[in-house]
Amino acid sequence: MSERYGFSLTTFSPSGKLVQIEYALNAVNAGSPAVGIKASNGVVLATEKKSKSLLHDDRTIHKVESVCKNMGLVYSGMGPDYRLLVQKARKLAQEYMLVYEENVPPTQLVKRIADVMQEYTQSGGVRPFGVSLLICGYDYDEDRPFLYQCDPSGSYFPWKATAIGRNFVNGKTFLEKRYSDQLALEDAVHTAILTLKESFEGQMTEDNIEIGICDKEGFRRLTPAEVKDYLAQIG
Amino acid sequence: MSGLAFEQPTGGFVFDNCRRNELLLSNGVLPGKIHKTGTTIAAITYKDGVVIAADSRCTSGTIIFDDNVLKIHRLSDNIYALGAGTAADCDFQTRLLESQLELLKLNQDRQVRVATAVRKIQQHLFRYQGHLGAYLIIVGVDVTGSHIATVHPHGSIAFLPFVASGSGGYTSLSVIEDRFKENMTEEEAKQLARDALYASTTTDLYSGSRINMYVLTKEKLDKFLPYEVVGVRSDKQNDYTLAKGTTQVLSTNVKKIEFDIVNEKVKTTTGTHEAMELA
Repeated sequence: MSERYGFSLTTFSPSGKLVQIEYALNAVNAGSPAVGIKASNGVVLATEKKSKSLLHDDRTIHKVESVCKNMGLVYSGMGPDYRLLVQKARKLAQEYMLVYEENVPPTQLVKRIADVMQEYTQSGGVRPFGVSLLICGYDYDEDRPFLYQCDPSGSYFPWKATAIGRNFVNGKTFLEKRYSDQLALEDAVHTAILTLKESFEGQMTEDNIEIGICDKEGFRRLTPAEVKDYLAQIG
Repeated sequence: MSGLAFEQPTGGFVFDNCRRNELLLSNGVLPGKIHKTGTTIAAITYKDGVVIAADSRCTSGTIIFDDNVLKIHRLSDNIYALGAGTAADCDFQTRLLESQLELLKLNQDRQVRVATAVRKIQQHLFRYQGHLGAYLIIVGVDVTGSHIATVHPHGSIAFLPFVASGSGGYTSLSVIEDRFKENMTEEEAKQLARDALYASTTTDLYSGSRINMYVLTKEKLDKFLPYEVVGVRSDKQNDYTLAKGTTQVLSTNVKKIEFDIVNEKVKTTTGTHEAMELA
């Protein structure tokens, strides 16, 4: 019934929903799974990165991207939309740096990115972003890590651990059982890989998953060799 | 888009206040005092990388305004800039460039090159037709090797094995010209940079205080803040404390100040104390 009001983003349906945003969330839930876990001393982001064909040479395309020294992103949903958001996020981080001469705190950057996503739900001639972002960062003032999720609607949520994309419900249930506040970053990486494994079809190797970690030193993407070590430990 | 505190004006300079300034001048209002920085900055390539040195004096007329200014600006982990000329222009332009290079590094996914930094700042300065008074020396080490470039406000550049700039630039340059040779060792290069700066800081009025030095190679960045303090304030030659009675009292005048009590309030300090907690 609300399908009748689904064509225009800027029109509410009688039930009070913006159906385009619902559909955007559908696009997100159809995307490859991504997981984020906040440990006591850092955050880990992990995602499935399956190539559609054996002929793909995927070594230079990345899903886990750094935004600035202390923050990183991963997504579920439409890749091209993500690319745009990464560019915008990087620029926003630099703009903050120019004004305040400090690395942007995660809470601030998340708000700015979410505002960008919200703009695309209230403007003419555009559609919402078909991605949900997992944003991780280290706040040097509060001396603690942060994990946030940003949705196509522009709402953002802080998480201790979460999963987005395909099978996210199972992922979250898995995490609810496994999560503890005393988790260290090393264990968090293991847990993240195991969570991904729940919805993974086929053999998991260092080439078809991507992991990024953020701690006091900053954000970085793990090299395939490092990922291989973690996978070997899990067996 | 709105919501950001930092908003760039659309292109170039806005000359709206020029007429107002002329009017003020004709009415006898003196313009604000310009703080001339006066500087010596120098950079020398050696076998493994580059040595850069700068003095730390900022002058306003003949008064040392600030004797510990850092004239070395970070552009990226492997590229640094030395600034002479208008201090604000050097500061802000290098900061802007630093941000742009950071974005470039993230988007390209590789280390930024010195030539890129030089090209970007050169094209930017040319747009402002020399009104941005930034005499910069850009130095760095990248995949193509170590480089030094000098950039002038109008946008001209020169890649050189060694360079010195600022009010004390020529003095430094004469020392470097005399002793520079290709592929020096790190110690030779540091000594040469120090001697060059020492010559300027002791001869040029507008340079002095400290010699700050960075040594940049592919592997490391050594910071010497300072490498040497040149402008040391000497101890006072005499004791200038004055004995009581040095200034003669000629007359004394005691005046009673009349005052009225407007409000009186009495507050007890001894009162209900919380009984001490004895576990």
